[in-house]
Amino acid sequence: MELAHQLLQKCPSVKKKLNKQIEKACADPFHAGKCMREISHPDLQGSVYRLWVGGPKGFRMIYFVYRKKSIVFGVYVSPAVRKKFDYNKFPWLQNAIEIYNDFIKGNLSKFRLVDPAVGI
Amino acid sequence: MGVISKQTVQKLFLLGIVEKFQNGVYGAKRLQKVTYFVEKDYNKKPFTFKNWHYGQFSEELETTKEQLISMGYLVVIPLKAGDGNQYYVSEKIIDRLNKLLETTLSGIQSIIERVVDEIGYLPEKKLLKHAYQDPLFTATEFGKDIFKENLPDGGIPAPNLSDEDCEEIELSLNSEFTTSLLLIKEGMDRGKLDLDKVQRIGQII
Repeated sequence: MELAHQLLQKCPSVKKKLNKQIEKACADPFHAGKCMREISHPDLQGSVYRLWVGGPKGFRMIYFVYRKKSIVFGVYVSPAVRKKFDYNKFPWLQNAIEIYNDFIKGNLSKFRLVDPAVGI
Repeated sequence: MGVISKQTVQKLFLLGIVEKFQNGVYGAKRLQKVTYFVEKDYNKKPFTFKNWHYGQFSEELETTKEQLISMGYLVVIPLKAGDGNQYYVSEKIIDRLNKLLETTLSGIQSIIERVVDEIGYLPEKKLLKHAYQDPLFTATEFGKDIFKENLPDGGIPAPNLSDEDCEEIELSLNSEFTTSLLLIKEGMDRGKLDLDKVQRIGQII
C-alpha cells in the first residue's frame, strides 16, 4: 500500500494543496467535503466525504469521520487526476485489510496524526 | 456527461427489476427467470445466462445480488423453510433508481414492467414451466451460454448525469469500497487505537 505522506514526497505541488484540504477537513469535517449520501449502509451514512485536491480537475481525497474518537481519517488520495483512474481497479480491500490489521495489532507507526484536529 | 461502469450498471439493472415488484421478489429463482426474460427482449445484456440446473441461470447475477445485500441496497427477508427469501430494494436508492436506469439503459423500464406483469407473479411451478419452454433455452445445451453479457468494458455514457454524480454512484455501489470502509471502521472500533502512539505532524511533510 502506498501511504499518502510517503508518496507525496515525490509530488511537492500536490502536497501543498493536500495540506490545505486536510486542514479544511479537520476544521469542519461535515462541511469541507461533499457527503456521500448515496451510501446505503447504516454504519457509514453521513460519515464518508469526498473533496477535490487542486480544484475540480485535480486529485480526489476521500475521508471518513470517526465520531467516537473525533478523528477525520483520510481513507484515500487518488494517485492521478480524477479522469485518469478507475475506482473499480483500485485494491480497496487489500489496503483496508492492511489498515485493519495495523489497528488491531496496535501497529500505528505507519500513520501520521495531523494536529490539531478540531471542529468535531 | 458522465460514464457509469459496467459493474455499476449491472447493479442498477438488478435493483430496477426487484423494485418493479410490488412487495419484493419471492425467491432467487424467480429473480433469475424474470431477469432472463427482460434481457432476452433487450439489445444490451447486463448478465450472461447459461443453461443450468433449474433452467436459465446467471452466476454474475448471483454475485451482484450478494454484493447489493452486503451494501444494504437489497434487503432480504427469509421466508418459511423451503420457500427461500424475499428481496426488496432499500428506500435509500429508490428515488434516484428510475432516472439512473433510464439514462444508462434507455427503454429498459417498460420491458421490466411488462415482464414483471406477465410472469413475475406466477406461482413458481407455472413460472418454471414457462421458463423451461422458452425456445432459446431449449435450443441451448446444458452448461452452455444462452446469451453473453455485452455491456461495453469502458462503461456506459450517462447523458443526464454529471461526472460528479457518476462518481458518487460508482463509489456508493462499489462493494469493495463500502466493505473497505466498514473494515477500517471495525479496525478502529476493535483495535488498539491509542492516538498518543501516533506520530504527530503539523502537515504532510
